[in-house]
Formats: sequence, C-alpha cells, structure tokens
Amino acid sequence: MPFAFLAVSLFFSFIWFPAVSHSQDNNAARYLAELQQQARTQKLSDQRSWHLLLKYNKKRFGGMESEADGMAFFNSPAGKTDPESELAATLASFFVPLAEIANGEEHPQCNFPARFKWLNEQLAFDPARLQIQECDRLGRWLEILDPVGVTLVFASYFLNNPASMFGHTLMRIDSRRTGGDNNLINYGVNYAAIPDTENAFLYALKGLIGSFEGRFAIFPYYTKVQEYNNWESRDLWEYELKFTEDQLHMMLLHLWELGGTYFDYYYFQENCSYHVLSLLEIANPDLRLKDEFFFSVIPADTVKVVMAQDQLVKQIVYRPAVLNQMNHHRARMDSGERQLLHAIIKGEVTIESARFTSLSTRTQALLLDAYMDYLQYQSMQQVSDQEVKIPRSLLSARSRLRVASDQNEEVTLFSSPPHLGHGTDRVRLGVGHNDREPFLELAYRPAYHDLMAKDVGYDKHSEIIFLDFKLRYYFESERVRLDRANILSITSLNPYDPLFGKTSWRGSLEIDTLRDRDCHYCNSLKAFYGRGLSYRPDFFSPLLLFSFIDLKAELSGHLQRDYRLGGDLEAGAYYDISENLRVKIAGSYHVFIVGERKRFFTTHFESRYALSQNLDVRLELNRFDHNHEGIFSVNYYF
Amino acid sequence: MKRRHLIAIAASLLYLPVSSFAAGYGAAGCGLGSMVIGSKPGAQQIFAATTNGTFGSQTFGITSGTSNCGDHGLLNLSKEREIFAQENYTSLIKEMAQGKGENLATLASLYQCPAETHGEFGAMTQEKFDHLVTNDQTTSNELLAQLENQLSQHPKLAKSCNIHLSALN
Repeated sequence: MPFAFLAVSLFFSFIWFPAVSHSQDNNAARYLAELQQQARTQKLSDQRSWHLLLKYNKKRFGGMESEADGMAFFNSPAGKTDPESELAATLASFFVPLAEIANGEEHPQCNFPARFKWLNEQLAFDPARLQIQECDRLGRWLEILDPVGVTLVFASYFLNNPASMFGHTLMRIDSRRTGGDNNLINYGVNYAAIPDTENAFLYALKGLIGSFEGRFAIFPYYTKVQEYNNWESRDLWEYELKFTEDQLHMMLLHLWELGGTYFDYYYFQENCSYHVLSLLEIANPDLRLKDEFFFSVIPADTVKVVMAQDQLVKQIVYRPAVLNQMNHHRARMDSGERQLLHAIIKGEVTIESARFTSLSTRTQALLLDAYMDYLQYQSMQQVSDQEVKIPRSLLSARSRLRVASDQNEEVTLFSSPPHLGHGTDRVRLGVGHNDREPFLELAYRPAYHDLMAKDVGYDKHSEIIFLDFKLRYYFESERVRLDRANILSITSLNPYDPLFGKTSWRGSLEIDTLRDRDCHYCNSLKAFYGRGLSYRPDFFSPLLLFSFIDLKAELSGHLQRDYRLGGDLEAGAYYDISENLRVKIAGSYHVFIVGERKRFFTTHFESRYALSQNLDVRLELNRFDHNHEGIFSVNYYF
Repeated sequence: MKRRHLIAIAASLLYLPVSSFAAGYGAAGCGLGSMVIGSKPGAQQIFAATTNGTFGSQTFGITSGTSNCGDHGLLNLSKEREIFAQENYTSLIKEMAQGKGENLATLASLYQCPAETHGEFGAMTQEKFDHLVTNDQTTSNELLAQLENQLSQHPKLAKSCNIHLSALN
C-alpha cells in the first residue's frame, strides 16, 4: 500500500508540475506530502463521509469497491477499489495549476467540490500554500438552485398497471429564489436507467442484471409533474425534509460530482430509491438509511424509512393526478350530473344545448372542469392519430362562468400516503384443519401486496404476489409439504367506469397443491390467465364485486396423462365491514377438458382483521370439490 | 484527455436517438423515462430533458448548447417564462379559463406579481380569456405576448407586476 501510494503521488507530481518553476513546485509538493501524511494519520480514508462521497461499499470478501462505474469519477487509477490511494490522488489533483487545465475542462477542485469541501474541513487547507480555484460554472449553478429545502417525491401507481405499485422516487430542490409557493419551478433530481432496448423481455432482464447505465439528471420539477400527474395520471406524494442549509449545500456539491459519472442500474437494489437515500446520507452522514435494506430497495419502503427518522419530515403534500382531479369533481356531482358529463364526453350532448345551459352556473362550471381534466388527460395519450386537445370554444365557455374552480376546498384523496402502507415483506404463521387432520402453516414472501391485506398506501384494486412460499406440517401424516409456491401472481381489478370501460385481468404462475384430489398433498405446476369485470358503486364504497373467466393449465405426475387444460369461471365480492375488517366470499366452477377431464366447484370465504399497520389475522374457509379446510393465520409485514 | 472529449461527444450524440426507445415504457417503474442529454465535452454538469417518448409531440425542447440551456446545465433565466408556458400550456389555459390554479400563480410569480395580486391576475386571465387564446392554434409564445399586452393595460397589475424583467430573481 505505501508503495502504491508513493507511486501515485509521484505519478501526479510528474504529470502536473513540469511547467512550474522549481521553488513553487517544491513548495507545492512539500505541502501536498504534508497533507497526504496528515490524511493518513487521521485515517480520513476510513471515514464514513469519504466512503459516502466516493460511494464505497464493503465487498463481501473484504476490501472496498465504489458503486460508481464511470472512471472519470476517480482521480486515482485504483480509485474504484482503493479509498486511500483515491484520497491521496484527490489531494494531489487539487494542486494542479490552472494553466494545466485544458480549455473547457474544469479544475479538479471544481469537478469534485464536495470532496474538496470535506477534505478542507478535515485538513484546513492553507490558502497561502494551496491555490484555491474559482469555480464559475459551479457558482452560477448553486446560485440558481440556492437550496433552502429538499423534498422526497413519491410517484404512486397508475391505473391498470400493477407493476407501477412499486412506485418511483425522486427529489426536488426547493430554492430560496422561487419562494415557498412556486414548487413547480424548482428543480427536480432524478436517478434513472438509460434503456437501450425496446424489447420488453430484454428490458426486464437487463434491468435485473444491471446492464443499463443509471445516471442522475436535473430538470424543472414541472416536467415531472406533467409526466406523472398528467401523462401517466399518477398521484404524487411530496415529503418536505428538514436539513440545514450547510447539509443541503453539501448534497448539491455531491450531486455536481455525480453528474459526470454513471452507475450500473439494478432494478431491485441499486435503483432510484437507493441513490436518493444516498443523497440524504451525504447531506447528513449520521443518517443510516440504506443499511435497512438487504434484498431489495422498494420505493415505498424508502419513504417509510425516511418517515421513521426523528423529525426529518416537515410536511407531506398530496398532488393529485389529472384523472383524480376529474374524480374529485365527479365525486361532487349527483348521479344526473354524472350521466350528463358522460353524455357530453361521448358527444351526445353539446355545451351549447339547452340541457346544459339551463343548469346553474356552479353546475356548469363543475361539469366543464371535469370535462377539461378528461380532455387534458386524453390529449397526452396519443391513442389515435387524431390530436385531442381542449377546444378553445370549451375554454372560452368556461371563462364566461365567473366562478373560480373550487381548488381551495379540501382535495379528495384518491390514494393514501405510501408511508402508511404495510411493509412489503410478509411472514405468516397459521393453524388449520382439513377433513383428515390438523396442520401448521408457515409462509414467507418478499413482495408485495394482496387484495385481502389492508390497502392503505397501496392501490386498492391491484395485487402483486412475488415469491410467496408456504409450507405445511401435517400432524397425523407427520410430514412437511410444500403447500404453495407462488412465483408471480398479478391481479388488476378495474371497477367499471363508463368513461374508460377497462376490463379486469389476472395471471399467475405457481406450484400449487392439487386440492381437488386425494393424492396426499401432491403438487402441480399451474399457470392461468383471465379477464373479467368488476364493479364498485363508487370509489369510496366498501363493496367490490368481481368476476373472471380464466384459462388454466396444470402439470403434475399425479394427473392422468400428466396434465390438464381448461378454465374456470369465478365470481365474488369483497366487503369492508369496518376500516380494519374485510371479508371476501367467492365461488368458482372449474372445467378441465384436455388431459385429465374434470369438473368441480370451489368456494372460498376469508376474513381479515388488521391489528396494526403491519399485523393482521385472517380466517379462511375453503372448499375444493369435496375437500374442506379451515385456517387461522397471523400475518406480519416488515 | 482529448480522448475523453471525443467519448463525451460521441456519448452525447448517442443519447439523443436512444431517447426514442423509452417511448414504449415511459416512466413505468422505478427510475425509467428521463434522459440525460450529454453535457458539454469535459463539463461536469447534469441536465436532462424529458424525452420525446415521455411527452409525445411536446418535447421538452432543451438540448445542451441551445439557447434555452445555460452552460451550467440549468435553464437560462431569460427563457424561464417561455419554457414554463410551453411545457405547461394545456394546464395554463385550463386554469386561465377557470380563473385560478397553481400553474397560473407560478406564471404570475414569473412576472414578478406579488402573491397578494395572484387572485387578481387569475380573474384578469379569466375575464380576458378570449383575447389571450385567440384560436385553437394559439402558441405559448403568442399567449405570453397577449398576456403581457393585457397586463400592461391593467390598472393595477401593470404597476405591481413586471413584464420586462424576465427572470424570477
């Protein structure tokens, strides 16, 4: 190590000091050597701040490695894996005379201002012996951003896309310049992968194995509001955080350094939320936010971690999606007005007609506001070649109704703050009895949300179950069986809405028990996909009805001819008796027509009572053909 | 060092065509959908434009080196109003017709109108809507020109707002 260190310092002194006069050269070299010695004595390269600045993580088998993959991020050729040589080389780079910097290049002091700031704090650079550089571009950048606050922004799910339930997080830099009320013109900071393929499968695969480059970017926040609120119609939840101005300054300096590098983007681990957390840690190294995550960093969980910190969150702001602004207006209409809105949207009634103009001014404004929200959403969708926009005649008609839209009144929340949701991991312990014997049940899944769980913080019409493993121990047979291994199961219920008319769908790939047969709990590999209709009287109604037609395939050595193909028809209902108590009742008829032929009924009753955000108990009664079982379980989320 | 310039230039050229690939996916999940526009060679700046894919035809028209974007990687203050109006055009005209809204209040701030006059600003845009948006093809720049015209004629706003100072300072 000392040798490498010496070699590096020699290397730098050769490169960077040839043109300078000898005495200056010697002075600088001497001061540099002093600083490097001092840094070694103080063990600066072992400090958490240095590791955060350079993104060093402990490697599994010892040693350090930086997450940054762009080599311009390092001053030492060994910088990616050697914090000490990087520190020495960084110090050396600060001594480069300005004359040595190529035109259009930045001086290292200006390229790495966060490192400079931190090292200066630790070593107290002597300006008489180290030339402090002016950083013009950086200065102007900071002047515009001029942070007084920072906000963690969570983009919630969008309609008909359960995968989006995982959410996305970005940051907003709240500037002194824009004042308190102009958040739209503050700047947003986003960390994103740069995808290089259009193929959905490659896209998913590359995201998992980290072969996309992830980069930080900065842009006006309103572009993100347009993107999430209006284009994708996703609600935004803004968590305004408390940091000192000095901490914010450090965060920005670090961000400036990150602009020039990239990271391999891992969808589950080193994703947007992970890097957002690391920005918060840079601002305040006493925060330990990333340590909480092991297997995956799910955006909603990062919000919970931030919320859990003492006094970090100042305020939470809800920014509704454009369709939820429309739903807010719709919620205030009576059923006649709602039908009229649908007729206007379908073009059956014009706003010039007597049926419309005879309404009160307030009602007309309400209808037009909802209609304009609808058109604004459609205008961004590009579903057909025809351009959709809010016609001037409509806008003009609205402007003649001199009632301001009621944006001062309480907004209706169509999603709930993500930090209130249950944890995404779940363990389950259950006891049950079937026709023959009692059993014990143990299950674990890392993600994400099922329709029986309390849906605060989640899309209340979507379900994603990923890698859910359930074992049962049967007391009389005295054996452990794999009851079910759910590889991936997705359900998207889209309650009927006359404006959109979307169907519900679901699909699943799992290993299940052949429950309609008496084969000593034998397993099958099962896949199904189905479409259906669901209905909820209105968004806040406790009742949700659903029905599905599924196509189903099962493979098992215990089936005649080892397989069966067919389908099922299912209908059922969810009902929220209270905030914490939900029941579900469902029945289905299965028909297998190829392979092993069979027809049978199943019925299913389940109730759940939520004891807290992360704990619920459930009672299930199931009938599969002629087999019955009942299970009582405790589910814990974390 | 020269080589790094070339790589940076090549990379910045590459990013642009790449952006269209994002179209099908948008920002469907964690961290997808925004794009970095290459920085000036050798410059350690970060800047992104939202892509074609994200905005359909309403590209956020900023690339490094155009007049909208400063060498520090942020918007040129002199263009702040124009870009804001262009990007939020639909939201703005909707709120003008309604006489109220966050985008509208932000626009008022960009014209240096003090917060207590934002109500009046909104009422004026509602009242003069037909002058502000003259037809279905009105562009965001035409909208601003009409707005400045109306502002300068307004007995109160003409004094309290500032249509000449282009940036929020």
